[in-house]
Amino acid sequence: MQYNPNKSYGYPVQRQSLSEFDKENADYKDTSFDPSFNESKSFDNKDEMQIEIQMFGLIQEIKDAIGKAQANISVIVQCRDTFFSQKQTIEHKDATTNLYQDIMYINANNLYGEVTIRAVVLATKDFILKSEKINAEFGYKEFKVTKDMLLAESPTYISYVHKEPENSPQSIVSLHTTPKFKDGEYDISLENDYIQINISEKLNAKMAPLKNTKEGRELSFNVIFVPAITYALTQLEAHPEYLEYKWAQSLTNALNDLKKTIDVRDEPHNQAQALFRNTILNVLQGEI
Amino acid sequence: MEIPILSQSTVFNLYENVENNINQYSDGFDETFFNDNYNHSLKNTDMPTNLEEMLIYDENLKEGNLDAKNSFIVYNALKGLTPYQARDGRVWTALSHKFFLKYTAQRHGGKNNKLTKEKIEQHFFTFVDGKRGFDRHNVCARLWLNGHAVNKCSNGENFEELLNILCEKADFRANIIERPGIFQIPNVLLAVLLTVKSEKHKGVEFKRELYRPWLKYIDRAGGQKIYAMMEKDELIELYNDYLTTIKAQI
Repeated sequence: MQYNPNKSYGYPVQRQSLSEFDKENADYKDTSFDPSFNESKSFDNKDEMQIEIQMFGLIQEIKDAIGKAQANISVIVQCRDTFFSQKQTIEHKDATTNLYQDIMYINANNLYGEVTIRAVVLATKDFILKSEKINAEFGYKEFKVTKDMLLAESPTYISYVHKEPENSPQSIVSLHTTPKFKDGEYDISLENDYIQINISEKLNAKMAPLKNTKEGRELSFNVIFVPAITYALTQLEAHPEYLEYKWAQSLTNALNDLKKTIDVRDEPHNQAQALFRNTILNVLQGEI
Repeated sequence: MEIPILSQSTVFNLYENVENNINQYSDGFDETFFNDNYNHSLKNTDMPTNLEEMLIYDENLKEGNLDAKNSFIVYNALKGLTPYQARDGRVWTALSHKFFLKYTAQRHGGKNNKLTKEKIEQHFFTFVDGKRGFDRHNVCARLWLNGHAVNKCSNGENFEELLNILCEKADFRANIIERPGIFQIPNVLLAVLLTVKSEKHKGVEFKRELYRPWLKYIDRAGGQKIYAMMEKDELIELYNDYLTTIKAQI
């Protein structure tokens, strides 16, 4: 077993084990505590984030302890940017059910950017936990659990909360006129929450009227926004640290949502086209 | 009035032209600037039009105490501002340029109350140093965030007193607000502030040599405890034990 003095508890705690190596070395051998968190956000009517929680992979002995009210499963949601932390204990009225599920509702106005979600199982009273799956390196197959001991913890799931409409990726782009460029020259800055495209005054004068018609908007998507988003996604792939910024989180959200309904190729230029609903076809096939 | 918000392009323009506008940061922006750029606001919010006059400028106060008093004022003044909206730099840039010229010069302008280009970029915008642009630098955002963090945890305790404990030492505040981690858990922050309060009442001076290792200890021990599931009183007891351990070591 790998020992991390700041994370290890000195007794068996069930966690996620993805690889065969992890399973072999887990505190509870050949097991993986792997809950599923499906989140959806609705900003249309009520600013709400819903998290559907399903508990997969808990060993039977911990499930039994939960069924006997010796332990509880709780979900902890936290957001660094808004100083937010909320916990919810999952109801488990039916002790015979193998699958624990619940829904957590959070006011999305209290969240911004990266939101972390994780599940923990904590003892609520003292009892003996016996399991044949306890890794032999502990040297025992049962141990005394005392109140508040952590029995299982999930990996941390990360979600991003932004209210920009996900079907208009241009809302995360800001055009900015600068005298340092001439004609069709421009550059793209990714070092802020918004993708900043710096363009010449001449280009700005040509671009400005385009937003007044549908044809013009499609044209502007193709000539400036799709290339900019392609560039941004390429940079994001190479430098994941950009995920700190709102544009990267918003585009990641939008792509993840899109992938739930259609196939999206992995190349940034195809992802950018998909985000703009294949605007290239709209222009070339005269569909507008 | 509703809380103003600038367009992103206005924010970029201002940021790019700090040097050209440097006199406006000491003399004030003219009416045309506000008429041209302050055209949008946040719905369902409210704030006093005289916020600038409401702020405290007492030069006899230490910086930390001044921050605490103004955090109280700013947090209470910006009614309806959600935590989500409070991570939007356009809001803070708008508020800083309209209401915080005098305060920034006094609080961040050094002995001469002089605002250099670098100081303006730091304190009137939210771009500098990533997230610290909000948490540490922007003159207004940092005050609001103090109030927000303490309000979330205060739970019937004296809000102003806790604010003062948080803000009194800039380094103590920085360890909590700028690297939130476990401190975003309301009970953890409350337990920390109440422990400090109790020590102060006992006459213990809460020096850097004491609180730095103590906060580090709390943070490190958090890897083996689920603080988010613990009650305030349990945490206070635990943090007192940690403090006793640290005191014995220094």
